[in-house]
Formats: sequence, C-alpha cells, structure tokens
Amino acid sequence: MGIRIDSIGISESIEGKSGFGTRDMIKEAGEKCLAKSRYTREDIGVVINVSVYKDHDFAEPALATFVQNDLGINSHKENTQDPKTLSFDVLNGAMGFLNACQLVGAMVDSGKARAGLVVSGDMVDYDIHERGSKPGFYMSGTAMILDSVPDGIGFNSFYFRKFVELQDKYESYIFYDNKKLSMIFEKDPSLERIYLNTVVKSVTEFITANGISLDSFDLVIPPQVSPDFVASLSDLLGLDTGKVIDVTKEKGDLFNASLPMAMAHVIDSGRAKPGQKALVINVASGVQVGIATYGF
Amino acid sequence: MATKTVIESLGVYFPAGRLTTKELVDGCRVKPAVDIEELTGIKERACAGDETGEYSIDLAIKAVEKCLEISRYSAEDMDMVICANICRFNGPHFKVNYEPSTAVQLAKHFNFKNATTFDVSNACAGMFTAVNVMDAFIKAGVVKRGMVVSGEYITHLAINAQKEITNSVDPQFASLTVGDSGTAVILEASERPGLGFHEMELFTVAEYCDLCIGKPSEKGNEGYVMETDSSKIHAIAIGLTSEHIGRAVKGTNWEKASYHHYIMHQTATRAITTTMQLINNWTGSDVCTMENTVFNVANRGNTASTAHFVALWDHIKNGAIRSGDHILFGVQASGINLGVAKYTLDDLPERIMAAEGQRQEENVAQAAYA
Repeated sequence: MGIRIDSIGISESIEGKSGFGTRDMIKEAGEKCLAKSRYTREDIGVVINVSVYKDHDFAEPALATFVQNDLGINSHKENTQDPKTLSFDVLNGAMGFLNACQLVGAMVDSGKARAGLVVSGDMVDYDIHERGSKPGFYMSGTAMILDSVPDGIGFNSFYFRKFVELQDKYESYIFYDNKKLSMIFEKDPSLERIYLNTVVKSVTEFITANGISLDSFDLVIPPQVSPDFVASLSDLLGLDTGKVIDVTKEKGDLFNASLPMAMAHVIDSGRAKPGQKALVINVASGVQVGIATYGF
Repeated sequence: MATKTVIESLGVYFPAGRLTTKELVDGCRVKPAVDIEELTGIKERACAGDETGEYSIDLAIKAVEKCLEISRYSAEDMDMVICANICRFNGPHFKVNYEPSTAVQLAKHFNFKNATTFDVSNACAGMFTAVNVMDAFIKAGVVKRGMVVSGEYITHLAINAQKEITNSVDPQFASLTVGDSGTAVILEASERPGLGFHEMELFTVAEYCDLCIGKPSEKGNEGYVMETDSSKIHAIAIGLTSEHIGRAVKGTNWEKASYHHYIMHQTATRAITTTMQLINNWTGSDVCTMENTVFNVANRGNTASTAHFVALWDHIKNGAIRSGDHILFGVQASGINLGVAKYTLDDLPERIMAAEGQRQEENVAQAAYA
C-alpha cells in the first residue's frame, strides 16, 4: 500500500499580520486543505501536528488538539459512538512531516483511521522570548491529508538514516537566563555541508539497497534548505537540474514546510503527472536523513 | 493468526528525591480549601531536578537501561524508538531541548542504530498514544519490535504552584499532585493466541482542549506552570470514560470483576473511585471493585504519561499482578484524550521479578563486599 497525498493547503500569511500565530497559520492551511479533499471532517481519524516551534511555548496539551478543535474535526462528543479522531504531536525537527506521513499510512493500514491530517506551523514567539539567535527558517502553515491506496501510488519505501555522531552540530533549546526565557539556536557554521554529505551517503545507500537508479525518477524533491543547498545537492548527486524541485527562492529554509510546499508546487503547477515517480529526500537535526519514493 | 502487540519488557525508574504532600502544602503561600492528601490519597512522590541532578532525559535513560536488562533483546534490535514525555526539561535553568528530538538523543546514548526515532507529545496520554502508534506500525507490518519511553520530570510544576497559588480554588492546585519517574516498554509483534493487546482505542474530545494548560510561568518565576479546571475536566473525562469502558466490556468476559485488573490514569483516589462507580452504573454490574482496581498514587503521585506503566510495575513487584492476568487500561488526559486498551500479560511479571531479585542479590553482595 502507498500513502497517498489527498490534498494540501498552505498559509503564508504571517508576514505583516500582527498577532497571527501558529494556530492561525495552521487553521488557514487546514481549511484550504479540507476544502480540496475528497474526505469530510468526519473521515479524519488522526490529526498530527509536527511544529517544533510554536507561540506561547506551551507543553500541554498537544498543539494538535487545538488544531482539531479549530478545524471542527470530530471535536464534540455527545457519546463515545460518535466519529472519533485522535490528535497528537510528532516532534522530530524538520523530519517530523515525513515521519508523520509514514505514521498516517500505518494508522490507515492497521484500521485505526480512514485518513489523516498532518499540519505544521513553526514559528518562534518573540513576545515571550528574549530575542536571541535567529531560527533561520521561513514561518508558514501547512496541512496535508493522506490516506492509503494500492497500485504504486503515494509514498513507498521509507528509509530513515541517522548520523548521531554529528548530533552536536545543531541544537536548539530554551532556558532561563536571569528569569528571562531565551531561545537559542546553536548551528555549526558548516551545517549545510554536513547535511549535504549525509544526504549523499544516504541516497547512495538507498538506491543501492533498492537496486534502482536516480535516472528512474521523473522528479527529485530535495530538502528545501536554500537555493545553494538544492543546487549543490544536484551537483553532488549528478542530477538533471530540470528534475530537481526548488521552492526556496526568497524564502530560505522551509523547515517542516519543506515537503508540503514542494509537493503542493509540483502538483498545482502540473509538473507532476499521473504515472510519474519522485524521489523525496529530507534532512534534519540529529543528524537524520529521510528518503521515500512517491508515485503520482 | 492475527498479529497482536505484546509488552516484551518494562523498565521503571524513580529518582532518589522525595517530597511529601504535607511539605508541598505547608510551603504554599495560600493553603488549599480542601485537604489535598485526603482528597487525592497522595502522601509523597519521587522527585528529580537540581537536588538529584537528574532531569527528563536522565529518567528516560535509567528506565531504558532497566528495560533492556529485562528484555531478551539489545538496542540494535529495535526498529523504532518513540519518546513520549510531556516536558523536555533536560538540564538546569529549565533547559528545554527542541532539537534534536529526545528519541534521537537516546539513539546516540544507546546505539539504537537500526531504529526510526521520533518524539510524540500528547499530555498524560503520551505513552499510550505512542503505544497506539507502535501498535499501528506493528499491525501494518512496518515494525517488528520497538520501544516507547518517557522521562517525566514534572515536580517543578508543584514548586511554582507553591509560589503562585493565590486563592483556595486556584487552577494550579492540581500541580501539587504530580510526581517524577521514567518508564520504558519494548513492544513486539506476536502470534501467540490470547496474549497481548486485544483492543486499543484512543480519541480526543478537542472541544475541551483548553481545560489544562502547561506553559511558562507568567508571574516572573523560572519554569513552567500547569493550570487546570479540575472539576470540569474530571466531570467530562470520567463521564465519557465510564461510557467508553462500559461499552468495551458489557456482555464480555471483561464485565466479570474477577477476570481483570483495572488500571486507569492515576490522578487521585477519589477520581478513580468515582470512575469505578460510574462504570458500574453504566454496565449495571460490578465491573470495578476495590480488589480489581489499581490505586497507585499514595507514594507515586500523578506521574503523567508514565502513570499506567508505573502502576503496572509496582503491582507486578508487590505480587498483585501475575503472568497471564488480564488488564484493562483506561486512558484519561488533557486534550481531552480518552482511551481503552484490553491486554493479557505473558510471562513478563515472572521475568521482572527474576531480574529484580537478581538485582537485589547483587546489591546485597556489593554492600557486603564494601
């Protein structure tokens, strides 16, 4: 079974909107996503938020429960026989979205859900933090509804690879400094080079293990870190640049929005055609590399 | 034969610090209107933090060590590791790690080199949400074996509550019930008939998502606070739980009081007894009795996402829960998250008792040698 993208919604409205936060971005993206979906709100059996950074920095409950309520997805119960949805957060740096896509597939294949909604809305709340180091990612909201289908459509062949010996190359945390909450991003200056090397190594392992060639893919959707990163990765993997998707321009690192924004671009622009196959690559703190194929 | 998920191993760790309810209440600027110890049944709890030098990830590490000691497997045998604690307070000055995830940090510590790793966050339902997720991956054939772990360092909520409670019905009073612990379970696919999770269903009643919020203090204190509308969240959670469990057991063997143990979320004795009564009212039979229902708060407090597995551990160790026993887990958490899971144990209790016995013998021998 493949894990199919049913619909995607994007919100890029945060710029210039005072008070527009994580929940607002996700709600806007979620409503767009639901409007395009073949599924009704009742059909959504699982809601997963993957935002690592959110306004107000609350630890409990899961942000996904607010999203479920904001979008009116089976949020009211007269009794326990009403349609049900389980909401929770999956937190794993910029790898969360790809983890959650695989997770929705497992929930559907195991009979726990009919379809699932994955959302992201990463932002740093400078109303409560001392302004420390910059996050370096583009703040946006995304939403994707997924289900599980046969016949080679959707995500398949997930491969997650860790390089834990490089874990200290990127760390983010909050702590109290003289009673002030501070957000810290500690990035090794060579982090993009480290990411490139780990991605190349992982992709090589992936295509070798699966007995496939990079030429067999019609599209390559790399981590949307920066235009330079995408160009360098194309060079290192010897890819035809016409196949490589880059939506980072003027935005920079899309973080958890990388996968949904790139997928929305290839689907909405008509770049992806039925029967075509994409190689999806992601990279995150840890250092982690995630790879999957996607059949359109 | 249908694949079921079984708990292959369980490890629980308690930090050395101890904090009594009396100490907590005596330290409050404004005293509660009710006798917290009498209402909750909580006398004391283990606590981590600056005094013991242990934080969330340290509790998780100790639990994983124990879990691997009892298991037949090594870290390299895990296909997936999910970390499910609510807070990631991993160091002094309330350092909260955002990246990398705790599961990835544990992967480095234990060499979970073959495991897909990520964190799940879902308040006190975190561990059961992660168990439900692992069960989905196992049933879907993606994972053969994986670990769910949680290190809950949450007693700092109680310390801030002492400073911030301003009236006798303050929303921070529930913070005085929490306790610290680390818990890890290994779950694996099994074809053995009659064992493992028979049913598991969790869901979120999201219209009540704002009834319990954990967030940074807004009153100038370092650290987080938890604000809870206790009476409302209990009324809704207990009402729906009794119906959910009632429907799951009525007309089955699980309706017989002698058939199972009942482990619900360990918040307070009065909340547990109220839930028992409502389940019995709903089913019209004595599903829950004082004999088959686990009360584990007296020396542990509410240990959040680890509470069910702490209770299972303690009741295996005191001999009340044995190999082959049936357990009905009732999940209740802010969100509001609710759930029911029916489980039949394999020989895990015997293996835990054997491992703990050996550990005690080693400790005695070491002490004698010293």
